[in-house]
Amino acid sequence: MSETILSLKNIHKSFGSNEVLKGIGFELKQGEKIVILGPSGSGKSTILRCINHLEEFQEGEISFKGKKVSRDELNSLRTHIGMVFQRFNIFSHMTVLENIIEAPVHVKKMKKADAIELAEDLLKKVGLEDKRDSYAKELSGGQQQRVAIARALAMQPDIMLFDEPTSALDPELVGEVLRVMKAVADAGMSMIVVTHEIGFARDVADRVVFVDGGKILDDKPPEEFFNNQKNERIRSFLSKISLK
Amino acid sequence: MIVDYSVVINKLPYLLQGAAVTFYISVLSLILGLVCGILLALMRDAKNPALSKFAFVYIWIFRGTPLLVQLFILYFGLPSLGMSLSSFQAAVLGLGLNTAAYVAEIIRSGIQAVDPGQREAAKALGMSWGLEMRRIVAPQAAKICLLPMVNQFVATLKNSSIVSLVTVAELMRVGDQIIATSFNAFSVYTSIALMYLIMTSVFMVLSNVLKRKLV
Repeated sequence: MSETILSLKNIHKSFGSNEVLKGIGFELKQGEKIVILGPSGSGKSTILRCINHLEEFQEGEISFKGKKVSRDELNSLRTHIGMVFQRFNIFSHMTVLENIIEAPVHVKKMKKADAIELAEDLLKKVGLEDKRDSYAKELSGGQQQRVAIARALAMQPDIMLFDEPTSALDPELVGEVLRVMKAVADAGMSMIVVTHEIGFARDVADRVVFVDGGKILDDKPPEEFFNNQKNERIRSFLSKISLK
Repeated sequence: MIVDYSVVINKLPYLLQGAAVTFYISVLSLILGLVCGILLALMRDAKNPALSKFAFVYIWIFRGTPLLVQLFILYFGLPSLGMSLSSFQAAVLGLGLNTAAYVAEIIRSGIQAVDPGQREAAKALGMSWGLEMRRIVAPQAAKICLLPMVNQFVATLKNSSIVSLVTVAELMRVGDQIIATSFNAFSVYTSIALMYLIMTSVFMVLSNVLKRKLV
């Protein structure tokens, strides 16, 4: 694989006296897909939120394309890193189309006509071209999450972060979101996905990173991780999750 | 007992003039209160602790002391520091700065009521604080703020009767002057009440129109 696009070194993060990340470090290469697994409360989501600085961390370093990110470049960093949230967070006062063109037009200063063209193209890709004038409250959770993915892609980011994108969905809606994520992956996007969807991890991930208690316990390609897992703690987690 | 509304009819031009002054002072104070209130609410939300603390102290003082005392400080107190305001200036400034504290709290609670996820999504898309406020928070907070804001506008209009005590010739003071010569307190005060009611009703009707547009 090609060069490193994102690297985390020794990230420590505490909420008050509660240390949730205890020295997290890994690298993401261009086009690589990492799935982060781990029990709830292990710090998985916090890792993603530290990457685009929605959370501040006390120690360690994150560099993007080989450069450490400084405070005044934060907004520009975020335009390169798309994020999809567990609870979708579609802007409730805007239509689907307005949601998607909002940041390209107002942050990237793209021409509105170009942004609309891009948005319509993305809506086709996520299968929602007929919903362009709907509001979030008129959409199912799965549809909202697909809009959220299109909205993040509209910034043409270098990396996409997915924070438990299917955890808030009814079971029958999970598949449609995973299919869109798979298509994004197949298009060559660099991705970090926090999820409990083992099937997705097997199919899509280049590496599976297992986090527990704020530390990385394992970091391997999925075949090795799932089929040849020696760590007792991880085996027990995997057996619990597959019983779901 | 004198219940005789002829005096009201005879003095109606004066009362209407007073009502116009009341309306004028209220509108100016509301504009001042709205502008300062928005600034204070944004300062409270800002990361900079000095700004946030300033806004907190401002609201604490202006909500925690009587409007009448604030007006007296502005009109009777400031001349001792070598700054004199006309009664009209003192009235607008006092009423406006007082309203600002309440407006700030209304807007702040509106901002806090916006789902934090909406703001995170804005940040994650690279929006600056200002853009996030303007494009995402303000439109959603405005709906939440509308009703309490109308309450505050009505309260400010009614509170403007207090500025009669710093000698502004608004509705209340004109009424007092008419009573001083006619001794007809009941008819004059009930007529004044009706005039306040008409003015506050105008606010409520306007707010209903606005509400239909926003929601």
